[in-house]
Amino acid sequence: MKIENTKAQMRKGVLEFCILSILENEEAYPSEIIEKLKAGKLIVVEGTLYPLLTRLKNADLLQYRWEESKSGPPRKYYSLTQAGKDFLKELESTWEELVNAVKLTRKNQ
Amino acid sequence: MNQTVTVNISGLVFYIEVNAYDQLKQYLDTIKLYFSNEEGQEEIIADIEARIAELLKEKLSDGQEVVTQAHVEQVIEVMGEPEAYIDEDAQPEEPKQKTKEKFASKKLFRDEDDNVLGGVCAGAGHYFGIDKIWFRIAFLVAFFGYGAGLLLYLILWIIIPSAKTTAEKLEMKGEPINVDSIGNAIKSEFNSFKKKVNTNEVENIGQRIVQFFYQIFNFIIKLITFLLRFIVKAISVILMLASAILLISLITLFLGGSTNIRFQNIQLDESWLSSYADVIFSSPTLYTVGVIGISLVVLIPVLGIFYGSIKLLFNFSANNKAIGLSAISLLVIGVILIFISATTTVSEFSSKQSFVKTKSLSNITSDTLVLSQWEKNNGILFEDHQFYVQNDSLYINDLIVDVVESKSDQIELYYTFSARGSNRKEAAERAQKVDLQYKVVDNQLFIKEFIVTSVDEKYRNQQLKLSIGLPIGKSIYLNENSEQLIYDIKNVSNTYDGKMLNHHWKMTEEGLMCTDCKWLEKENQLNNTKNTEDEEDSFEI
Repeated sequence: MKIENTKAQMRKGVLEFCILSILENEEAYPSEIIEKLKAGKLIVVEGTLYPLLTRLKNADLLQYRWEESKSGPPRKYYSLTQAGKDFLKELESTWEELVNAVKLTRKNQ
Repeated sequence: MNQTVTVNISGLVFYIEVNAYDQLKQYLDTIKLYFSNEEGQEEIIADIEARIAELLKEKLSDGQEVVTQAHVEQVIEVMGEPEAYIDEDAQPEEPKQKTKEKFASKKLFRDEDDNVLGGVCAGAGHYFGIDKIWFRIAFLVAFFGYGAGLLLYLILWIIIPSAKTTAEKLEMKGEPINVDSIGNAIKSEFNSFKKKVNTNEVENIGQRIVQFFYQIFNFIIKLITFLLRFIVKAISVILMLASAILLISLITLFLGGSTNIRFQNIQLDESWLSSYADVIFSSPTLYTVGVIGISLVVLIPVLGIFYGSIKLLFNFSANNKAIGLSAISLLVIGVILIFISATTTVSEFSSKQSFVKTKSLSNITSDTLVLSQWEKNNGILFEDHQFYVQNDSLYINDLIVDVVESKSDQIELYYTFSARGSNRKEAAERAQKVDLQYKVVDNQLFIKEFIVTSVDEKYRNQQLKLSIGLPIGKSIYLNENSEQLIYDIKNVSNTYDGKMLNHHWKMTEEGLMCTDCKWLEKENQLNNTKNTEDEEDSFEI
């Protein structure tokens, strides 16, 4: 197993969690999401985000509406669906469990 | 100075330099290829395009008007190379396997980066996963076979597109489609099916059985699809080879070379074509026009089949519209040429005239005339032909011989020649120039099956009806071999031609009567008794 693969897999799970978290309280368009993810160094290039958003939308976790933009084509403003909110809650508890588990195991070492 | 083009990205209009455009197009094509198996592919592409438009707009906000290559490079840096998507996103196990699968649907292109002429061989090498040198050798060998290799190469050069974009180059070099990979595909399909059946942890047996049959069903469907594909490919290979061979033979034939195509009895070779053409067409131009027309009408569909089969076999895209249009217009031109040639020629057959001549055979003093066919000195070669040309003479097989009562006390020949022409005068003159080939030896009359005229007269349906006039009291003996000459000879016993052979027939007041037909005598006796019976009956009434 390559280290890169493990890292990528971990990042992928966290990435979805973070996207849903960003959209928890307010809707946002892709560029805004990208800014926040870039600040957290979760993604390097923007292209990565678009397939991910489409997949989450197709899984009914996200929805979007169109809004005109002064600086370019119309933008998609994404927000959570009810299923997305539920899923996010599940992820939050899973995350906490994981953090605890990691803490415990690392202390034991 | 740089040329610019206008593009519409996500509803925004940009002026973009040509090389920048190429780079952007290549980038988007590659992305499309990466997402080709992804659900919602179009939406992802649209989102990415929208973002690219937004980024370009931002970059141009400082007064610049034209998108340059530098801009495109910056945008690609921000968006990331497609390879990076794969790294950061999904399917971390065996990412290479994944990309390979995406290119499994391979297409045939010409490889112009690795060419001697048009890169056809290199492209074919990529497609079949064989070293290109083998194709080059094959074409070179075929080149010495009447230039067939060159012709085939040129055709392939024209119809196979070259790989221009990166996406096309990737498609061109994808996993080779050969026996090994086909075998592997089946094997891995079967293994995965076996694995699924074995390791499936399904709760209850019912579900497990359903699952099992579903898997089997799935496997069978895949196998059938594969077999169907294989059959289609096999058929297209056969079609391609057959049409290629036909094409090459036809071209050599129409160009005047001699080929060995045989349609039943007719051998299509140079002498056949030119001799027939010379006597049918009034001018060589008309003949050439007709041949070009026929060539087009025959070649275009064969070419179409050839092209279609190649397309089916290698599944590439080409400019169908242009090819289809030019094919149809060539076909139409061909039909028009045939029409011109045919109507002009047919008009030369429009008028029919006859010419009557009488000749007395006073040399024959015997009471019995023997009719035989003059042995054919041309052998069997032209036996079945309607006409043939030899030493500037045209021989036509259109003679019928009848026997009638003579108008004098000598044996006479009554000729009725007929011929066709574009007008009555021409037809009448032509009819006069026809002659019968015959000779008289003692009391024997030998007649040849073919009538003769000059080759300059052309074949215009020249015919001869020859009536042999027999004075009353004289007889004619019909030799066995005269069967091909005689036609519908009237006689008192209504005996048909075939039965009249090898018998003596005497001219009487009533008409021809057989003098040595035993079966006729019997019949006569029967008829006579019948007649008497009839008469008796009539008396009773």
